[in-house]
Amino acid sequence: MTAPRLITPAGKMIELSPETYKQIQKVLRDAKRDLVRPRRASVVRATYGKYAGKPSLTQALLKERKAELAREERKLKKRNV
Amino acid sequence: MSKTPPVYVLDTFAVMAHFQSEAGGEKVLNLLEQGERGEISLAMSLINVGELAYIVGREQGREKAEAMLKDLHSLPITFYEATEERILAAAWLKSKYSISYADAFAAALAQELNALLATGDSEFKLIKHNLSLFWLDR
Repeated sequence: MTAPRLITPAGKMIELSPETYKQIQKVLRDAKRDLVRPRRASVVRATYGKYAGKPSLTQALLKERKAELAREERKLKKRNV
Repeated sequence: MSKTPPVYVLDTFAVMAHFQSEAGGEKVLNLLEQGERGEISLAMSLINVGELAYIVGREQGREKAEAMLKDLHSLPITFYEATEERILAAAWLKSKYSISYADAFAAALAQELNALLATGDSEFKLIKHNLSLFWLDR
């Protein structure tokens, strides 16, 4: 089996010992893991304010809940009359 | 021994505040980022997902609602189905307090998971002695 080799951007070829090769592989694996994390975190950040603008959904929600409770109150009052 | 991360239940208000960067939205963003890092767990009842869908559908159309639901599912949140046990837990709360039906599910889930309920809806103040609230500023 041929020894692992590293080719530099300048085209120079460097033969690596098995130990150095293992260490390089580990560095590359760790770097890949670090790249994955911020990308995932950016999904959370990318959705923040993605639907900003009018109409306000929280205001629509509060209005809806208020109306729901008012409807129920009316029904209860009618039943108790 | 590893410590169990704290659990936060998000109600419809919390998710809307995040998506529209409204008051309290930054706190939700912060929770979601902590959830992404595995520092906390985030949960939401599917009944609240339904509430989000119909309000967005009514206000902004179905297409926008479906896009928002897709984004919601990309967030680090565990969604909980409405089992009979959960429906009844919500029903008992609803029978006791003047809260909306969907809110009752969020509150019941927070009780079940021994979680903090993240909300900006003052309706939950009625039930605050029975819940741990994480208040979103409004």
